[in-house]
Parts: sequence; structure tokens; C-alpha cells
Amino acid sequence: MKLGLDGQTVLLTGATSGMGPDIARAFAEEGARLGLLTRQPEAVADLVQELSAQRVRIDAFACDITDADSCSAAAEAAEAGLGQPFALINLAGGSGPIGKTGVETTREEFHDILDLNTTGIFNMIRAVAPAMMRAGRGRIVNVGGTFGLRGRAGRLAYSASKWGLRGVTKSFALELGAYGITVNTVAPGMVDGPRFREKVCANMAVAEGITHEEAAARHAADYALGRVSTARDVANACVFLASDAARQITGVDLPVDGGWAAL
Amino acid sequence: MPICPGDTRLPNQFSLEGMAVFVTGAANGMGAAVSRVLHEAGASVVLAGRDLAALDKLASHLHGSRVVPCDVTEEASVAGAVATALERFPTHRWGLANVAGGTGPGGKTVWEHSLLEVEDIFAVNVYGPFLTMKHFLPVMIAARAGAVVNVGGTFGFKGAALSSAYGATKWALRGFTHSAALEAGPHGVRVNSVNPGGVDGPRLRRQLAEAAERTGVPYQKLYDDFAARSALGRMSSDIDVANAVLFLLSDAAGNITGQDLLVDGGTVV
Repeated sequence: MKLGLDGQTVLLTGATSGMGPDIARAFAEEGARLGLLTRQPEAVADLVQELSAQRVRIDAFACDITDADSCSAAAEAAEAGLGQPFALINLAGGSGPIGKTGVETTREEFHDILDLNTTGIFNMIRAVAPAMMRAGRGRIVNVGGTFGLRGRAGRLAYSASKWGLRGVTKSFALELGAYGITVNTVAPGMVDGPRFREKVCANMAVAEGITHEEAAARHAADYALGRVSTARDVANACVFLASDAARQITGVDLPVDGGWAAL
Repeated sequence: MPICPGDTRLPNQFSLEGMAVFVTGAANGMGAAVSRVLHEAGASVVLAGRDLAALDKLASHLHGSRVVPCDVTEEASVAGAVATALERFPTHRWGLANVAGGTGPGGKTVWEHSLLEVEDIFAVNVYGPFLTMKHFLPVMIAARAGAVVNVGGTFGFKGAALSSAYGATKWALRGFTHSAALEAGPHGVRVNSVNPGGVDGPRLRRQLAEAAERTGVPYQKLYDDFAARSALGRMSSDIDVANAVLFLLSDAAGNITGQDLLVDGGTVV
């Protein structure tokens, strides 16, 4: 498959933790130049060094996605340093309150997670899209979540933020299509990694009086394919949607969830 | 049960090396494009269809491919074609791409259809993929590997005045896709659909020409209006569709199942 990402500039938010490093590596393998937009550029220094050593052109830029001015400044700095952006991968986001009902969720908690997961991506697209519009081409991939496809008791604020993100995605897709820009969502289910192992499974093990391994197995059993996703599964979907091969795909939600959303 | 397969990084997860893919409707435009793209990605392609002359011609360009006669509306024909394919590529991981399909009677309301017309389009668009899945899924399940991609369409996402029977087949195919994904998933087998809208090719051009004839609106205007209905403002190509089929068959989509991926330039948004 011709992915066409060689030499293209890809901007990625949220590279500091979780799936970020693996998504950066996947684009680096395709020959992309990488701009990591993060609140703490020093926190991605190891990743920058690792990929620089493989002759990847990569740099980090300070960016707080909840601050529109910061997004604009980061977009400008990245374009000056790495050239016209071809793709923007919006990974940065948070979990919001876990295990609280809507009634128990405070107004501030609700506001904060929407500010990060929904408004933050709106800010970022507003900052980067004009350069793509001038170029007449671009790819935007927003990392949502499967709780943006269903309701979720105990995760109301997070679920609302991911549903909101789909509205941002689809409306931008309609507005930016005429400029040759595609805008899509990748919706991962549970993703393996430190958060899953050390927080999610640990909490479940305590709550249910079961072992860590049993908690992990219960999570895996939620999915038709019998496993949680890997960061690489999600990275592959991002790479595909950013590639030439997906040039005619826009406004879609692509779940990477082992079949959970098919239920 | 493995929670996650560990490091799934491979040299190129978008490659289909070592996979054999059974492609239905391989003789026509989209099926031929899918076959070419899968072949380029390293797959051994089984070209299944009725027009053997066209299939043989395509096979002569795709080194290592095989032609098998197959009428997807006849179970005996499907069973025989699958058996032949398995004999020819006994050691391969299998993929199945259900591309064969028809358009059904256009321009008729629900109440103007005969039962036979509806049955005929269901036979090709729904029973066809059902039969190939019925005969391939046990093979994939036994191998604990494999992937199916059904080619549906945007009419499986919306109502379609004057194309109700065709639209209903595409909704039905999504139902089979989702349920088969849930049933086959625990055995390590994935089932997804790719849903094109407005694919530029002989079929769409013929339909637009008929509409121009019927309505008196110039063909070019109908063509341009059609393309303009998508966010990207252009028709899809059969290669766009083929690339999505390739992605969903590949290991790069290893944890994607039960999904309907639209390739329509942004019309169902």
C-alpha cells in the first residue's frame, strides 16, 4: 500500500505518555517528519532523542491545547521549523471523573474534561487548518473513544466529551472537504499499557476481590476478539487515515476496539 | 487467553505476504481493482466469478493468481469454488473479499417491485456474501486466523427513494457483518465492511446516463452535482475502495472487527 507519508510533516499532540510514543514511532517508520506538541517539551526529550538517532526529523513545541493562543503559537513554530503541516493527530486528552454518576459529577469536573477533550481539539484544528487550507491538502485524525459511540454509566463527563468530539470531527469534515482536507476519528477501546495494568486492572482487582490477571482477563473478555487494543493497533489506524490510501475517507468514526462497538 | 499479543510490530503490517484472498466479482471493475491492489500488497489472489474470459485475462497480469468459476447465488458453486481455492493454497492464511453485487431495479417504489425482483437482488448482494462466509469462516476459525471484508455501500446507512430493494440489501449486509464479527471474533477471525459511495466507473456512468435520459437534465450536470454532494467534492475511485479493503484485511487492522468503514468522500457524515 502506498502510504505517501515520506517527508510529510505530521503534528502530534499528547506524545508524552500512553499511546503517544508508539504513534510517533509508527509515523517515523513511514518517513514522516514529526512535530510533538506538548505542555512539557522536556517530557518528550527521550523520544526526540530516540527518533533523532534514527535520522527522523523531529522536534517538540510547547503547546497547551486548552489555550487557543498557545495552539496558534505552537502551530506557527512547528511550521517554521518543520514546514507546512500535512497531518495533525489529536491524541491529547484526559479521562475525567471515573465512577461518578452525572449527579455526583461537579460542574467544574464536567467543564474541565470537555475543555480538554472537545474544546482542546477544536482549538488545535482552528490553529492548524488554515495552513492546510492554503496548501489545499491535509489530514486530521482525532483520537476519540468508544464511549463516544455509546452512553456509559459512571463516565458521563468523559462520554459527553467524546460524543462532542465526533460533532467537531464531522462538521469540520464537511467544512474542510472542499480544501482537500480529511477529518476523521479513531475510537480505541481499552488500550494496553501502564494505565491499563497499573490503574484500571489494579482498581478492578481491589473492587472485585480478584487477582490482577483475572481483572485483565475480564477486560479482554469484553471484546469479540478477546483482547484489549495495543497502542500499535491505534497507531496503525492513525497512519492509515493519514495516508494517501485513505484520501477519500472523511467524517468517519473508526473504532479500534476488538468488536465492542459491533455489539 | 492472551490479553494482548505483546509487541505486534512487524516490518510492514500493511503487507499481505503469506495471505491468500478469495475475491468475488473479480471480473468487473471494482473486483478487478481490489484484486490488483491485494496482489500488489503481496497476497495470492483467487479470482472468483462467472466471466471466465475476463478473469483469465486479469489472471495473466497477476502472477500467482488463480481463477475459479463461482456463481455466488448458488451454494454448490460457492462450495466447489472454496474447495478448489483451499486445494490450491493449502498453507496460506485466508482472506475473503465479497465484492460481487448488483444494483437491482432502479426507479421503482417499494409497491412497484415484484417479489422476484427483490429476491434476485438479495440473492446476489446478501445471500452471496452469506454463502461465501458460511463456507470460509469454518476454515478461518479452524486456523484461528483470517479476515473478511464485505463491500456494502452508503445506501446501507440511509433511506433510498427509488432504490429500496438495493438499499435494503446493503442494510442487511451490515447486519450479517456485525453478527458474524461477534461470532467469529473469539476464534481470532475478523469481519468488517467497506462502504463506497459514488464510485466513478461504468455502472455509475450508465446510471447517470439513464437519469439524464429520464429527467432531461444534462449528463455532465448530473455528474458534477453528484460529486459535489460529498465533502471532498469528488467521486471515489475503485482504488480508494480497494485500499480500504486491503487495510481491513491486513494485520494493521488486527483489532478492528464488526465495523462499517465508509469510503465516500464524506457523504454520510
